[in-house]
Amino acid sequence: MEDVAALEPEARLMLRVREGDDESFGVLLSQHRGPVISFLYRMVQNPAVSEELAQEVFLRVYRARSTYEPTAKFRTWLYRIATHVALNWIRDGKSEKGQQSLDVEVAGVVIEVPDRAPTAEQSLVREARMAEIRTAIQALPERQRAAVLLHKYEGLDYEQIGEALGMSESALKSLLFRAYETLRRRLAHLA
Amino acid sequence: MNCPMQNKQDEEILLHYCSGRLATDRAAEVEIHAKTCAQCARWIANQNAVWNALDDFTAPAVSPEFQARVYQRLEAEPSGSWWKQGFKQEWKQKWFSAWRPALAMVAVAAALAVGVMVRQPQILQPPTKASMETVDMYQVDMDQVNMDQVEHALEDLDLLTPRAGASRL
Repeated sequence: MEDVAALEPEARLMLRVREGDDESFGVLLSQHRGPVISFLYRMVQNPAVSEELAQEVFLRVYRARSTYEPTAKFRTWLYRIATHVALNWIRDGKSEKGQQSLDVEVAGVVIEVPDRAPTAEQSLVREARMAEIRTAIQALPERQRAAVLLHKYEGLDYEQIGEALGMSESALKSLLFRAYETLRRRLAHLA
Repeated sequence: MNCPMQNKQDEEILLHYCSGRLATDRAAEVEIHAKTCAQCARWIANQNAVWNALDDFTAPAVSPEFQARVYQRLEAEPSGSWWKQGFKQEWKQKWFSAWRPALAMVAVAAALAVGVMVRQPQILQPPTKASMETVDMYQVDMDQVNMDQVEHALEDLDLLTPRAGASRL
């Protein structure tokens, strides 16, 4: 029998989903849709595809409810699914098809803008900077990309990222250092 | 503090420091060291530049209908609505887990029975008393039918024979 009280809130919610409480699934969906979509967006760099993949992630979470065991943190489990879905999509070569529309979508991406409206020049500089960062991230091998994104944006620790990517902590550290080394070479001038 | 750049294994301290995940006392040690180590200072500056640049890589806002789309896809799952399917799956799982031992025993017993039937040779059963009586009864009926037929046949023969008919008359 699990000590439910000792579990993290998300794991408790997931156990309720396992018992048939669909409202708890709705709560988990509301809490995690934003971060999951952001992670997937940075992985595939296509807003429409990232939402589609995020739907798939939550469908898999729901389908797996009956076998769910809170052995790992819920977020680790969730990002493991999300990483798997994203890597599959990239490996299936669908990213190349999506890349055609990427240039068009760059302009359509909703960017958080400061209260003061930027000048046209500032906007152009910002766009160019953004494009450079996107290109540098996109150029990373897919597992390195996932590791950096989980480390930088999702705040997962080495153990969690290793678990999400299915590798040891030491292998993950090595992967992550290589990824940041590449990014330092390409982006250090943006300081 | 030893120079993290001299020892590759300690390099992660620098990455922790730049990610803001190092404990305060350890972070202070790194800062003191970086003031006297140009190599570490450069590494930190470059990593901070990358870290800050990545902050600009923002994601688009989630579309308002995202949640509704997830529910639509759950509804579209085969065999009815998603919550019904979930209920069915759970029910099936509970039912099978409850009856699994009994089902296993029934399956073993059935397999044994089939095995015994296949191995045992066919034995001719001796007739029972009841079955013999049934046979006798039919036999009697058959005898009576035959006797009547014989008597009728004989009478017919007598009538047809002139001498026999004359003697009767």
